[in-house]
Amino acid sequence: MNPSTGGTTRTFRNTIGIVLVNLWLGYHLFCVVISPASVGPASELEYAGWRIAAPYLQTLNLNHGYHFFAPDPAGSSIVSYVLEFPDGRTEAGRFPNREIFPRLLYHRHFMLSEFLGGADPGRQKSIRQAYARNLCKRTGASKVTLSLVLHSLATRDQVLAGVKLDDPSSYSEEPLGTFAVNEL
Amino acid sequence: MLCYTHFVWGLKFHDFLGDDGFNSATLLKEIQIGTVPSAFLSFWWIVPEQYAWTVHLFCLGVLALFTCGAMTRVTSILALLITISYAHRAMLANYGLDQINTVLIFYLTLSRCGDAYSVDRLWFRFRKARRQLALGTVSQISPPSPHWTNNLATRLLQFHYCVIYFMAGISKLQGESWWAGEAVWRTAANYEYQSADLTWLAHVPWLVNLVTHGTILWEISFCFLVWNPLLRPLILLCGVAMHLGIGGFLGMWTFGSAMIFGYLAFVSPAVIQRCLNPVVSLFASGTRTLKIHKGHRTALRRAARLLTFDFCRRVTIQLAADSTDPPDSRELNDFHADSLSNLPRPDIAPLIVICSRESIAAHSRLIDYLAGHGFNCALTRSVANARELTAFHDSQACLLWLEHSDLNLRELSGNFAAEWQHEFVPMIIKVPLPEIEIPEASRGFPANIRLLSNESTYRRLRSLIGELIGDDRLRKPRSPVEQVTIFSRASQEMEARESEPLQGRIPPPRG
Repeated sequence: MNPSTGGTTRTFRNTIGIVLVNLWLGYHLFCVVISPASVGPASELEYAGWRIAAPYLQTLNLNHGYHFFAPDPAGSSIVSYVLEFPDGRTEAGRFPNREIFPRLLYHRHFMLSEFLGGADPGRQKSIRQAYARNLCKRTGASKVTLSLVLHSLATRDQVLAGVKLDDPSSYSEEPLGTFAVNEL
Repeated sequence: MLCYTHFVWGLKFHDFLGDDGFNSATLLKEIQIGTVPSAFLSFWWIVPEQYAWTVHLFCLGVLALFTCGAMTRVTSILALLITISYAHRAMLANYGLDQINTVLIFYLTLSRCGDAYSVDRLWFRFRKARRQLALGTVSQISPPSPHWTNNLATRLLQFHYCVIYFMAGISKLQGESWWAGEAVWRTAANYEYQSADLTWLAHVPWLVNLVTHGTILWEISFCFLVWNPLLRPLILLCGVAMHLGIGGFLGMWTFGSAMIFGYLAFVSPAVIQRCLNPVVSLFASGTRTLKIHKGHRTALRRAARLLTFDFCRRVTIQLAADSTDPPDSRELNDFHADSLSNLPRPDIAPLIVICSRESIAAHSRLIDYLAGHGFNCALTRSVANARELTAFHDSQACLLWLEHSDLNLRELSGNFAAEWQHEFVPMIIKVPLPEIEIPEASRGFPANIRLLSNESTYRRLRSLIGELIGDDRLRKPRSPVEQVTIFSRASQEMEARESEPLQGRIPPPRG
């Protein structure tokens, strides 16, 4: 016991604990920095650093680039669908749409369409099928036709000329295919 | 925010979290290839479909408890697990809000977030008040004591925010529209994001340029300027304005709110306290004086409840010892207070509280010796109980600490050092040091704490107790006249034990 330290003694266990906490602290700070730093374009060194941090970051859902509206704010992607029911009727819809409430739920649907719009072609096929399956099962439809609608941004000149932000000419549609529920 | 976020998941539960939803199991397993398995860590993978809704409601309940600050040691960890599980399971629908939620809950889990402004704190105040009243003492409940994990969590959150904004700023420098001052227009012109019409910005291009360049400058400079005490309020206000703008004009209220909440890590606790005091005082007990009898349980419970909410220290409790005084179950503002010093002192023998994790049998010789010299003995394994007993009996009690392997004064003083000041508790600590080293080792200890070598004798122990509780009879050794008058066998054994070391043999078990 050491009275000069107020009677406390740093035991071996305490020392090990302090060392471990500091080691974790250093690793955590490294991970926090390397996560956004390794988002492309990035160097091989940064990629290598990310590979060290990846398990920790991915497990704790801290693996983010924080590239908000970067490098440039882009146009939006919307999923448009046409449902065909066994009785012959059809129903069209799209998400996101402004009828979705609350706003957070709207953003959740928005992120789905953005994910599809930003995915590479190979991954897009699986995503399309997942969306189609959900739409059919949720609504009881026998078939669904999906399209990806790209909404480009209006320029200042266009707005000054009286063009609305949701002008039909600013939308372009890319068919994604027709999916039957028994094939999904 | 966590409650709301997860409540909204539940509005379209099967769409976002179902096996055949948008985030279908098949799709996520395909995305998982090439990543570590824990990247998709989620309890939703093992929850059967028929129990999914029940589990979801349970998660909402846990998050509600955490929001109120109830059982935060447990609910904080569960909230982190819930946040990660939902985010991993509904990966395709995540965005900035989920990122910030995870960051905030991660650091809250590291800290002792339930120590203040929480149900946990209320419960602690209630238990404290009840214990004090039961012991017949009433003192102010001190505020929560600082803890290193709170400092750590605060600093880590500050650092993380600096990284977020810096990286957000420099990533924008890769984009031409941010250099050209047009980026804010592009954001405002996005119909799917827009929640309020911003097309009027087309008429004020200079404002668009200003906000665009200002955003970059603010984000990049945040990590440098926020540490300056003079600039910090301005930097944080700019952030609040930006996030309120994002919420109001782009509809991302939840994301903006979550980011603003994190700014509290940069605000001093004293400022937060000053801001919250008017709100807290709305729930505080009013000014009142209660005179209650110590044996009146209902009144004591009521008093404990009043003290629990006595955040502004406006309640005065007067404990009446005289049983002829009517128990007070109503407010008595016009009573004259009885001074606590008029309470009769309990007429009991000195009390020795032995604190040890060993059984009574291990200390039977010691207890026999102390009892033979007229002490009352109490054996307890709990330091908190030991301190309470000694505090109640004031100077007529002494705490005897026998576990030298747990020698840590910080542990002895407990978590609530401000309330259980160990310097007011007469204490003897048995240490594994030879007698000759005891004076040196005792330096630095307050006067109420004495060290006792495990080679010391029972006589030495008795003398120390006498010194601590001020009883001269115990301090002096027995005179030769006293010794010759001892003739009973029990007395002779007691006399012989005086010279025995405390580390004597443990008596054989009976029978």
